[in-house]
Amino acid sequence: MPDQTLAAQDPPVPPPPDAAVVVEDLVKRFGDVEAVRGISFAAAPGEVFGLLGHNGAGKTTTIRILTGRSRPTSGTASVGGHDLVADREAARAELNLVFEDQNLYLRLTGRENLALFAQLYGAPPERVDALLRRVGIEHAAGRKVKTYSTGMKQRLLLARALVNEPRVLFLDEPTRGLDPLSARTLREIVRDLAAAGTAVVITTHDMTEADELCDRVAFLAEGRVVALDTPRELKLSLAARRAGRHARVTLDDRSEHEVPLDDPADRRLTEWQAAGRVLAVHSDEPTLADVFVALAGRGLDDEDGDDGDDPGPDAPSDGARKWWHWLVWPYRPGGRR
Amino acid sequence: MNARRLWLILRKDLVDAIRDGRVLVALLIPIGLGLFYSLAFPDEEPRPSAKVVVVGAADAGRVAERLPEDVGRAIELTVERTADEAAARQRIADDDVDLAILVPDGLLRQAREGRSPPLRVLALSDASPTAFAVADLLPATVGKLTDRPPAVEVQSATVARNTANAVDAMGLRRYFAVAAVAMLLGMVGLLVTPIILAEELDKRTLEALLLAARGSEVLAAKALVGVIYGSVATAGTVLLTRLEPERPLLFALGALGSGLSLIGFGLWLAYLFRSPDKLNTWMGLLLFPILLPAFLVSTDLSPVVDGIFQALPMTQGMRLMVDGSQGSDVFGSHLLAVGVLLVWTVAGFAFLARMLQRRGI
Repeated sequence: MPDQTLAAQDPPVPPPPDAAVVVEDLVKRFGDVEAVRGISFAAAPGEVFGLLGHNGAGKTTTIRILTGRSRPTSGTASVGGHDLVADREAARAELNLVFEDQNLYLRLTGRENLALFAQLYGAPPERVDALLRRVGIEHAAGRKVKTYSTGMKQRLLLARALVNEPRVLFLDEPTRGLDPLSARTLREIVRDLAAAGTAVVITTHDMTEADELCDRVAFLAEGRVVALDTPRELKLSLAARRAGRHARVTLDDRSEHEVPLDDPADRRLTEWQAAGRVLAVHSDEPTLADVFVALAGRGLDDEDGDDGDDPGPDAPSDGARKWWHWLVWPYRPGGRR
Repeated sequence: MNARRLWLILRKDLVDAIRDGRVLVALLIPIGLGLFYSLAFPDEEPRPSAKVVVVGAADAGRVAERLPEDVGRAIELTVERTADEAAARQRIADDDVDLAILVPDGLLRQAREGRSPPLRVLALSDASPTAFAVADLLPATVGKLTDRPPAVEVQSATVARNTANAVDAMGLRRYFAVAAVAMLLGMVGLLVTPIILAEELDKRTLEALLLAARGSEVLAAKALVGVIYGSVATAGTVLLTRLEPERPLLFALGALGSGLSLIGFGLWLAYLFRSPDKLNTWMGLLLFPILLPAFLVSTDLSPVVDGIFQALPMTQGMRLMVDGSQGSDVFGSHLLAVGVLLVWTVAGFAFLARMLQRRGI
């Protein structure tokens, strides 16, 4: 069962005046399905903000709205001080996105891919090579992207998302499928961006990554924010609510022992320490994944596939689906992914 | 709409698409077919031919027997006989025979008497030079039959063509060249252009583009890619097949109208199929009925079928191109053709715009 105590949210507070991303009472419906149900949060410049949740929780829909690719049913969202409905063009100039899919032009070279978007954004041409160097693929800039490895493509995606020097950078599952070295490089770049004042909003299923990268995280479940705090506070909140906390102690004879931490009568740990026999102590501090399970009542891998909550801006509306369903059999309603 | 962004996307599409094997094949197949037919049906036949019907009684029989001898091997001549002038006129109008020779009773007798009797010949106004060459031989033939110097007066008259027949009017080589252009425009409008968009949808590069540009700019660029590829490939086909349209503006109007009327629907189909592979598969099937009217413009159709076909863009596009490639009209009704093409073009793009509006792009 979900931990309702942990899920309880603080009363809404007004976003700081300099917030890079402000979301208030955001709602998105697709026909009868309510994918996002009144989400509110804000992200400050230089902050790495995580949007976490299981498949279908509303993460992708929220990101779509925040990147101007989908319109909210109600509520407001702004990026860089520009409303995403009323002033979408200005808001888009302030943001960019590292897509979950490696949506690059495979028959173009890395430089051609980057140059196209640099020109579309009106960025100076020298930025293309600078970004290729920054993400470490300048040696392959003249090669067609179809010859790139997954890690190289992901780096190019990141470079593309930086061509307009966005104030807000969205990353959708940025390290999925990457080898540890590439993932680490990408995280370092994200940290550098945040240090330089870019607000970073990241969605990920990787709780370790979220724990490592994010200053704050919002847990989404069924279209709602069920918890919003720093990873540390969320973990400690769960730990404080847990009964029977233990430490696992490994002694010099390689034997392992579980020692209760909330039983003052059990003094074994103190004695082993005094005798110099302790090789390792592992606490059972909850991880962010534990927090997630407690909040959502299920693990992250309970559902297959990606967020199935948003058919995307170019998918037909429900009415159109019904109309086309019988007319055009090759089209599978909702079966895009 | 920002022209700079449109140009950037267009330039990218032109470069990206031409590196796609599917696009190359779709462009090269019709050009190759046009080239093949232009070589398979050369203008210069090894031996000119003519089909002649001789009308009349006894003297007509003698003329019909003698004429092939006088023509010799210079012309492959087929001579038939009939007693009915009306039937001969009908066959001329139907373009079934090239020349009708009307031999009056007593022709040879009058010629022998040196009275220069009239000998009428009937042909289509645009009959082949070979037919007129046969007509020019008639005084000599009569002269030989009467053992006198030529003593007949050949009077030529024209007969109006019954039905428009592009193949007869143009010859097979030119007809297939225009048909290849029609096929090419169908491929560009319904395969090449949609494939470019469907691939953007499938690979989701469209979403990245839409972060930096408006949907209208992206789609206008795609449509322009179709127009540019269609124009360049049409020009190439015309040159390779030596079509040499006699009214190039009319021909260009037909080609452009056909292309534009298909591109809007092609882009709409891209949104429907959303995958270049699906498009490739299904358009192989859909292209046939869409292109079919273009290839049936020169056949006799029932009024109902003809009425339906006249409302289709490929029919009217092909008619304009056929007339544009000729010095005179085979089909005419150019305003109707332009109107039909315009309606289909507007409808295609309106349909597409409506879909984009519904999706908030």
